[in-house]
Amino acid sequence: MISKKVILTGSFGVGKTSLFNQFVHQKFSDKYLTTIGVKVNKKAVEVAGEEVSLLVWDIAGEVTQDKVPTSYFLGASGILYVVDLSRPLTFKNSEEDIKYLKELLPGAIIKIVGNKKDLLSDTELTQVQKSISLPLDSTTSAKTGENVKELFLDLAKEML
Amino acid sequence: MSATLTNMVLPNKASFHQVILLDSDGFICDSCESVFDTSDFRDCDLGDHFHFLASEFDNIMSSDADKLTFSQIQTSLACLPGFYDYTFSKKIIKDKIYILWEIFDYTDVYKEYVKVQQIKNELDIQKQFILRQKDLQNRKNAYSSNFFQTNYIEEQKSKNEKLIRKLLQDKFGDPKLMSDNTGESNMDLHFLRGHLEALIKEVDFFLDQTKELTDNEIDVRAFTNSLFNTNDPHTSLKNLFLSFEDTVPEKININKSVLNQILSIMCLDKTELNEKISRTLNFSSIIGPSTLLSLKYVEGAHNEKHIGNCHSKRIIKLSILKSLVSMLEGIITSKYDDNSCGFEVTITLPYK
Repeated sequence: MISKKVILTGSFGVGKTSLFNQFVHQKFSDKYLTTIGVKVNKKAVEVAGEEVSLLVWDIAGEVTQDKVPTSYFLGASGILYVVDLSRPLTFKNSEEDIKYLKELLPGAIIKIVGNKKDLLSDTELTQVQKSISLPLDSTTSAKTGENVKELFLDLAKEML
Repeated sequence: MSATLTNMVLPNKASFHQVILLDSDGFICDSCESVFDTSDFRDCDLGDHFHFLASEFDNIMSSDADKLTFSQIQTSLACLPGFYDYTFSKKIIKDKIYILWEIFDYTDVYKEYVKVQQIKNELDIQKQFILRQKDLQNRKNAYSSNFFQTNYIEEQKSKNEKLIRKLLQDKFGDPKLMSDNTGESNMDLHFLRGHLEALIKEVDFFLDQTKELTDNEIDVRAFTNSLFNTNDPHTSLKNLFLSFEDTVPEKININKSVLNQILSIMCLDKTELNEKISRTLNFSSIIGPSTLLSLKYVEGAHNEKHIGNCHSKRIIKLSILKSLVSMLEGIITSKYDDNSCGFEVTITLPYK
């Protein structure tokens, strides 16, 4: 079985752990619990008839990515850079962060994910998408599970 | 909160410290068992239980670093429920490569750290939310203010346009009724449109200056009156059909082509006659029509205090009368009237 390391990163409170729990355990809690350090979990998915083991790293949110220990990123094949669609400050540094991650992991697939889609109306979502300097690869709701599985499956497909 | 974090002193030593020796395939060879009991995990693939190892073991094996450190690791295992720091270092024992995995239990320390971090993050999120709401409110206010001002100005313009139209219609009649395919009517319409545009521009100027409807109404009325309302009888008469020099009242030239118009107006429509020239020739009555047209004119029906002011006008009026009567071969009779404080002039003209 092929194993791929995937890192969930982004500012604090954007819903990285919720995406992680929704994808791995299909569970969601409204209660916000800060993550410190890192939690690693494994989930096997099937992509194009092949089983892929995704080793998902849920790391503590930092306002800028250069504060995350570089050892965490070692050997990562995919990065999910998560922003909170309802909090513009969480995508304020997205351009610099993505540039930093691309330099750190030149071969990795990096996806920008707008989470908490359920908190926005369609009009608000359009406005937010226009205001982000880099285009979003996916908009998700960890609460409803919308696009969460698809996000990881798409990433797995691209990493193969 | 940052001060609290900065001042928080972390103990250098972990509560517990465990050393595990792994072979190159990731199996447990030995352990001191001070943090957790490894007996359940011997002779099995650790990666199935320790996802961190599943993720990092190959990296650790291929790394050139003497020691790799990972902080604040959480697991989903019941035997490792807290927060741990891991270090990995390669050891060569009897030509075989082993990995020395050290586990430091910082659960007590990191529990406190999590509490502080939780409060800090919650406050930061709350702060961001408030700033966002403020920003949205400011934008909304700015929009409302701008929207209100734009609407207000448009409303004032519309009101003033209506006012101007009304004033112009009062002055010239309904422009729609004047468009009878005559050159004169079209000219009037052009004239009106031109002035309307000029007035609208003037209104815009007033609006920009004052932004007050009441002031603008007064200004517009004054402006419109100054353009169209002429109270000077000389100008009125001159504009109608006579040409004369204001400074030479004794010498009046009457255009013969308009003489018949004057006579027909005199005979047929007293109201129009009075409207057109009553300010100049104040006829008190018109007798006829018959073979003779008799008009009675009271000259000097005024108070003493008006004599000086009316002098020049009276001379002009008499001059016009004399010229008219002479041209029409008529007769002027006059007598002094004590009651009316002046002369009563009667003009008798042959009517054809």
